[in-house]
Amino acid sequence: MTEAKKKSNKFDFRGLLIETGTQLLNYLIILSISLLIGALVIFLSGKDPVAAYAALWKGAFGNRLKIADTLDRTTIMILAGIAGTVAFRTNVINLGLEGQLYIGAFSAALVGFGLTGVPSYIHIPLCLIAGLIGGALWTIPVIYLKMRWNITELVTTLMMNYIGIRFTEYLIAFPFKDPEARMAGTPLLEASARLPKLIQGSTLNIGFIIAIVIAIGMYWFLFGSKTGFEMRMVGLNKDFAAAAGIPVNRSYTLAMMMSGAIVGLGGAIMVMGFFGRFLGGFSSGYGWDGMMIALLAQNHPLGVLPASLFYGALANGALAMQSATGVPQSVVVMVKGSVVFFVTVTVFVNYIKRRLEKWAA
Amino acid sequence: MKKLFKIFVGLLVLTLAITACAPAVVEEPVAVEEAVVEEAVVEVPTEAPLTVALVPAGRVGMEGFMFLAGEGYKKAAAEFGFDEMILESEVPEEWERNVRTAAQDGYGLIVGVGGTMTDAIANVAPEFPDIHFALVDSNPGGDNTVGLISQEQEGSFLAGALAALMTTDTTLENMNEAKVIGFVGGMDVPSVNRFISGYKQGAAYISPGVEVVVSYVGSFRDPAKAKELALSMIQNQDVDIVMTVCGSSGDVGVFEAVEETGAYGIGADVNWDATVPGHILTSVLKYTDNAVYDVIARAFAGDFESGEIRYGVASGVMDITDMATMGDKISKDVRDRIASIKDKIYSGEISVNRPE
Repeated sequence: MTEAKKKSNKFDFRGLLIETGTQLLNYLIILSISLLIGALVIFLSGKDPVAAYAALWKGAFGNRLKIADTLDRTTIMILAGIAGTVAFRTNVINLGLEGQLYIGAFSAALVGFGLTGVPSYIHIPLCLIAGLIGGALWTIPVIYLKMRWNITELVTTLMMNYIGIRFTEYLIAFPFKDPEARMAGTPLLEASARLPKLIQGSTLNIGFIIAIVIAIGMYWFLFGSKTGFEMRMVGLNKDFAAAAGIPVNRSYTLAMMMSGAIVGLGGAIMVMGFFGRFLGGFSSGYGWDGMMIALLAQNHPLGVLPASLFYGALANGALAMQSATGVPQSVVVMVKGSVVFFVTVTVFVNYIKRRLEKWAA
Repeated sequence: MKKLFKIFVGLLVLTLAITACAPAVVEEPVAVEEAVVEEAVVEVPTEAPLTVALVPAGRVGMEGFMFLAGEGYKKAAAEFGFDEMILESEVPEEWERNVRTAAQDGYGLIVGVGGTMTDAIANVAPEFPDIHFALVDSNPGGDNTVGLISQEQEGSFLAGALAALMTTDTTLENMNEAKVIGFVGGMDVPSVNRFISGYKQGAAYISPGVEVVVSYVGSFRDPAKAKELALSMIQNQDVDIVMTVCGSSGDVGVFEAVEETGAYGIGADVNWDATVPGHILTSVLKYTDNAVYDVIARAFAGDFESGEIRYGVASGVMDITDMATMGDKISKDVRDRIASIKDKIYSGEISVNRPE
């Protein structure tokens, strides 16, 4: 064994340290700047930014129940973010997360109220699987159009959103309308299909644990498995991957279907853990949030976790901020937007990297 | 080094797994009944003065009926001296989260506004047995909840009677001989259907031969479609009076149709009479503020009872306007007739059937 070979096999600890440090610093700077921009706007509108952020923090992490609710909001963000990540890693531009979310949610609801008299430990997995399958099936037209005529998924996924959302609206307006419901929605799910809560008084349910497991599982899949490696290679350079004998079409199909399935699972968890029935137009744009979170996490499955927590905390604290200080909730949207902007333009990361490398050398 | 890293990652994953699972293990006993009660007692000290939060399914500044609920709440706040806390949102997911937030923050009475919040209250209430929940327009059906149900059919009965009296009055321009009146509803939901039922009963009370044409928009926020439906009734079905319960924006669409065709309209929830002067016969008023105020007053008096409270003409929640903008287009005979019908509903001589 030559010395060179040995060295290349050796784990580059310093490199990892620099990489991690760079990323942490980068996010810290981005977060501070974004919060400062938010503070500036709050200040300009004549309110006290410190009080506003204190209220935001209290609303998100003020006590046990608030933390639990924040984590509950994080659940759907994680799943949508992971769905975005697996697609974008393979360079599959799945803009159809929102539609897949609705179809997955509806499929789970269908099994949830349609199937009666089964125990929870069978009913819940069946509903979750229905969500996975529903979301995955909704990507099939997209995959077919891509394979058959090479139509870009950029357009087809986007349009499948509207079809999916309106289709579920039709389903709950006619075939599956609940005459008892005060809103357009399916009948209530059987009690056996509801996800068990983790904390009484909060909406946090086992869906959160499922989401964490999926995120870690996806990390292993993308970075530890052969199929995941192939998918990443396809994402880096499709032509090169094809030349190297990697099944490009299979990777594309897999990435698209996994993406749809995971966000569909997210819809299922919302229906089973939160609403208790499928409601028309229930999602506040979680599919779109998922893409932003994937972007924020730079398509890293574990990065999705803090990014989702950030989104969840902002969402959960916004109301407290508004009711305590009168600062409109939309400030939160601006902070989120700034963060995504700075992550995208990556101005700081290169600067820090240069400085860190200089310092380490 | 590689081994070290592996151990590090392993530990990290383990920590994550433990933190993720920890609540499940720790919180297991909370599922037991006694534990829940204990927890809630800590959050709502009984000695503290009652606090009340209002959680509307919309914004109190926008929808007419939400606005009134907000007014009733503010009036109660001023009178009983509690701080106002209005948690408003238009997003269904946030409704339940807002109710939950108010419950977590220890409000003693939480008043939801809008039948669409039924699920939200029904989901949260059982977890906070020591907090009272009231819901305008629907009955969530819990042990600690009360539904404030408006008898829309009673107010609508008056409107139907008025429409039946006016529809054959050809001295008014654009009124035709046909005994046909119209109704445009927002959605096929119980609260709208109560309006429709009362409208039909009122019309039939005056003259059994009056035909009532009904259409649903399918939304409470679609003025364009509401207008189309009203136009089609007026132009194709001999309808000369259209009543609308389509949400504030939808109602505007119907009144545009009324204005364009010169036909007549009847509004609901708030006073629309001045929208198209001389062409809005009346508006069925739902004084939600009285209902909200009443339930808060009950809570402060200490006689909050779960179940359902019905508010109709007799309790001052349902009424119609004084028809002032119509002036002498509505004759004194008709006005007297309507006033006597109102007295009869008040005294219980006329009982208006409530569809369930």
